[in-house]
Formats: sequence, structure tokens, C-alpha cells
Amino acid sequence: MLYLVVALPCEAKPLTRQLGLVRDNDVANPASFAGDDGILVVSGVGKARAAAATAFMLARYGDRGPGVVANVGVCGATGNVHEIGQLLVINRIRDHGSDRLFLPDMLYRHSCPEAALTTCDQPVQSGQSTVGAGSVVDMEGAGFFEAAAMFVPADLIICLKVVSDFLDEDLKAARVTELMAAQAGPAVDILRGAAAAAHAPEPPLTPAEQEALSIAAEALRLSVTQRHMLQQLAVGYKLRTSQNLLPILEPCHTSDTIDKQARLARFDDLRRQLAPA
Amino acid sequence: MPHTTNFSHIYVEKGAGEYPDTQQICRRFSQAQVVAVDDYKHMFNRPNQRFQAQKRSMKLILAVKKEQFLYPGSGRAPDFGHDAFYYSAQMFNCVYNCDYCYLQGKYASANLVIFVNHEDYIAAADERLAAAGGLYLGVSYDTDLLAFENVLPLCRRWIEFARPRSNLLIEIRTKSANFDAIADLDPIPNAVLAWTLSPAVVSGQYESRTPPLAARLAAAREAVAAGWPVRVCFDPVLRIENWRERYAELIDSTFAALSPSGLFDCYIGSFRMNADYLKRIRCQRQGSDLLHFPYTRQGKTVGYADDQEAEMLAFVGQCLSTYLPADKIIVHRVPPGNNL
Repeated sequence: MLYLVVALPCEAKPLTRQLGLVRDNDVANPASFAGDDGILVVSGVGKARAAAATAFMLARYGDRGPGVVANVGVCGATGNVHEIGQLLVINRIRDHGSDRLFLPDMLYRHSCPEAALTTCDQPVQSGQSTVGAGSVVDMEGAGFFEAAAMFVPADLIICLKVVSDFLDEDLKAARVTELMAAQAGPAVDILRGAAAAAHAPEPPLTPAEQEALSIAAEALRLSVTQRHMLQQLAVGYKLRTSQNLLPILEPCHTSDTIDKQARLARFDDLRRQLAPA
Repeated sequence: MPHTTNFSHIYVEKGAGEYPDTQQICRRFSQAQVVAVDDYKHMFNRPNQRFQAQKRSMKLILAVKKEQFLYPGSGRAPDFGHDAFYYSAQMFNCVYNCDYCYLQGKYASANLVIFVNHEDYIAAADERLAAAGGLYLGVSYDTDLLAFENVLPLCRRWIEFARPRSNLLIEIRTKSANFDAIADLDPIPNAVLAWTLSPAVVSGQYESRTPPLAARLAAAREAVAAGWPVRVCFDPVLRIENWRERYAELIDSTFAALSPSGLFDCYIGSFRMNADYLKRIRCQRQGSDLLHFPYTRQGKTVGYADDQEAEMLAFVGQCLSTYLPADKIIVHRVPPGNNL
């Protein structure tokens, strides 16, 4: 699943098309788009809006499955290191206002150049000394990253920028869309690749086994500590033996009709069955 | 999509760039992206990092250690009878990825931190040495220095530091087979090279990326032949399936490769860990049966139940006693009811 935060509608358009996303009409603001493997929210300009939109997106749509959270958009470049239209993977974000540093985990392979990003509170003009030569500037990255980091691990947060200018021109929306359209495919490829590589291993217990464990714990009226102990034993048993846990757990599902001593005896018996030899 | 290669990125703390070690490491990994950071902790201590995801693509963080160059040994590690037992942590984390490693719970990040101001460690060791009159110093705790020796020759430096200081005993503990990296040095009696050995099934299943048993034994054999004091460590002893047979085989294999008379000593310890660390590691590494064993908690330490631990240590000790005299077998048990 890809969770995208984009500042402007003209940046979003090529990405919604690339991912086949449609407007979620249940949400008026921020404009949100949803599809089978992607969510995109248009935040508006500035780091506060980016942070708010990121938090909104992850709170509202975050249960749609594991994936990566990304900020994709255009940026201005300083110096002559980058080219107009180039797609960059951001490896460092500095909030110009607070001087705070945010560091994405660069775990997933890509073939794009990398760059350091400075997020400014106001548009930067060519010749201003607010950012170092060779770095790129935007107005959202730091806000996005700080908010995303409250929800997901650092390796699942990605920032991709397309160089739109050298801080010396007033960009039109159509030009931004054109630049983004040229890089929407590669950007989505990077994000999908990262989402696939980041996929966490399946939990050891199947949903049916986890459910059976909960029913058994309820029927045996286990304390929180006892439930934790049972969970650890069940996971250990499953990992050691690869055996189905249901035949062991299901006989405990009817224990609510017996007295406390009998329930404790049944719990002890369960522990013995699940413990290593 | 594959992960980026290990050390594809080097994070250099402000002030660390001028140190020769930083420049050497950046030259060694000349293709790496160098990212400047204000403080290594911004990268290393961030909340919400996935240790095991990072293990698939470890990064280097180069920093300058500002304080506490030596740490007093914890009761979970053996002091081998030395009153002044300290360890230095010039690197945080290790290139290997053992299931049972406490570093997964100790640190938020799997990235490797290297403190490039080696001379400050040396000065701290000299100061401690002068104050205590003698010192036992573990220089490869919280890491595996010998495995990293080809990148940064820290073992070599510590050995050269120890050479003229007879009241200093250093231990370089390793699972690597990289003895060649220091094979040209003349051996000294006060630098113990300590190899951790595990049954082949353990190294294959639970010690990811480590050299196999045969390679470790070959390295230890070379070290013994060259005249180094060599310690073998059966630590942690694990209650795996058929553990008696597996550890008996391990000890037989060890002494088929190494002459008992050539060993400095032999150390045995069973699995134990800080309880909070284990809790964290279980969340990160859900697929390891070893970590989900029903360990017993005593104070802040988890490990095998007393009777299980005693049984395992006694068995391994007995196997060893057929090869070594009792005074060369060191058995470590965490004191009962410890509150470390």
C-alpha cells in the first residue's frame, strides 16, 4: 500500500492517474484519493498543512494495510548539481525554521540521485543564502516527515522530489504537472519496490489460532500476566513444532462452566503441553 | 526490490569529519553517500526504528565520543576474577545478526556506530590503569572488532597499546574467522583472543552471517599456533533439541582442532539477558523459537530456570573436563536473585 502526501493538485494529478486513484467524496478537506493499492492526500502548501494532512491520512486510511508513506512533489534546486525534471530521493531533511534534522532510513534500492532537502517556511529566491549549494528546497518535507514518524517506522517514510526550477522562475501549474507526469512512473516504481521489500514477515500464529487463544484465555478467565505467558508459550510451540495449535486450544473453550481450581488445572495442563520438552 | 547494500550510506557527525579514521572509512567506501548529521544520536537513537529491517542494510555512523570511554562490566558478563573489569565500546553494534544477541534490545538501531577518536579511549584506559594498578579490559564488547578489522584496525591498535603494559589484560572476543588481519603481529601474553563457538546447528540457524564453526576453529588454531593466548567461549549454551549430543559434538570438534594444552582457558555461560531487552527483541523478531522459549525471570535478568541452567552448565563442564583441568574451565552463572 502506498500512502502519499502531495502539496498541490497539479502535483497530484499525474500520481492519481498513475495509481488509478479516485476522489473519496466522503472527505471534503483535505482532498483525498483512494484506490486498491494507494491513498493520496493533497495537503496544501507549507509544513503545518503537510503535517496535518499526513496525520489525517494515516489516522483515516492507515488500516488499509502495511506500506510506505511518501511525500512526493516538486522542489527548487540550488547550484548546478541537479537538472530540471530530475527525480531525487531525499536522504536528509532540515527544517530551516527550527534547524531540526530528519533522517529517512535509506534501506531500499533505487537508481535515482539522492539529495539533502531543506524545508523553508517561505518561498526561497535565487541568491538567498538560506540553503547550501547542492541541496534542494521545498515547503513541506520536514512537516510531513515529523508527522509520519509518529505513526510509522523511519524506514517506511520516503521523500521524493522532482526538480522544478533553480529558484529563479514563477512556475505555472501546467508546467508542474508536466514535470510530475514525466516522473510519476519512476516514483511509483520506487515506492512500490520499497513497499514490497519492507513487507514484514507474517506473525507466527494464524488468525484462527490467535482467535482460539483469545477464546481459551477468556474461558479460563486468565489474568493479563497469564494471558501474556500463554501467548509466549503458544508462539514458542508454533515456531518449534509448526503444529496446528487448534487441537490443543479448542478443548479449553468450554472451561467457563467449571470451578476455579479446575480452570487452573486446565491452564497448567495447557502450559505443560505448550512448553518445550 | 532488493535492499541497498550494507554501508551504502555513511552518516558523519559534525566534528568527526576531520579525524583520520573518518577519512579512511570514507575512502574505503568511496561509493557511499555521505550524509552530515549534527549529532550521531539523531540517527542512532531515533524512536520507531525497525532493528531487523535495518539489519538487512546496515549503515555506518561515524561520531566522536565525548564522555565515558570505559564502562564497568555488568554481572551478566564474566570478570574472570579481575577486580577492575571494564569494557570499552568504541563501536556499537555488530555485523552479525544472532537471534540471541542482547544488542537488539539494547540499541534502538541496527546501524553501526564507530567512534573515531580512538586516542581518547587509549587515554581513558591509561588513566584507569594508573588508578587501579591493573585492569582487565574487554575491547570487543557490544560489537565484534575483529570482524571489522579490515575496515578499521582497532584490534591491532589495542594490542599495540597493551604490548608494553603488563598490568593490562585485554580480551578481544569474536565470532569472526578474520585472524589473518592481525596474523602479522607478534603475540603478547596480555591480549587474549576469545572465540565464541556454537554447535554447527546453532551457528547455521541462530547466528546469521557468522562464519561457520569450522572457519572459527581454523582461525583459533592459527592463533594458538602463532603463540597467542586463546580462550574458547561456549556462550550462550542453548537448550536446543538434543542439546547434550550437540554440545558434546561441539567440544569434541573443538579439541580435535585445538590442542587443549595450547588454550588459555575455556568459558561457559548459558543464555541470559536483560528482561526488558528480551521483551523488545520478541516484538522485533517474531519468528525465532529461541527467543520465545519460556525463560525464567530473576530480578532484571531472564534465562533458563535454575535447574535447567545447572544441568546444562554441569554437562558442558563435564564434557570439557575430559580435555581440560578444572582451573582452565570458567563457568559463569548470574548470581541468583540479581537485580542488575
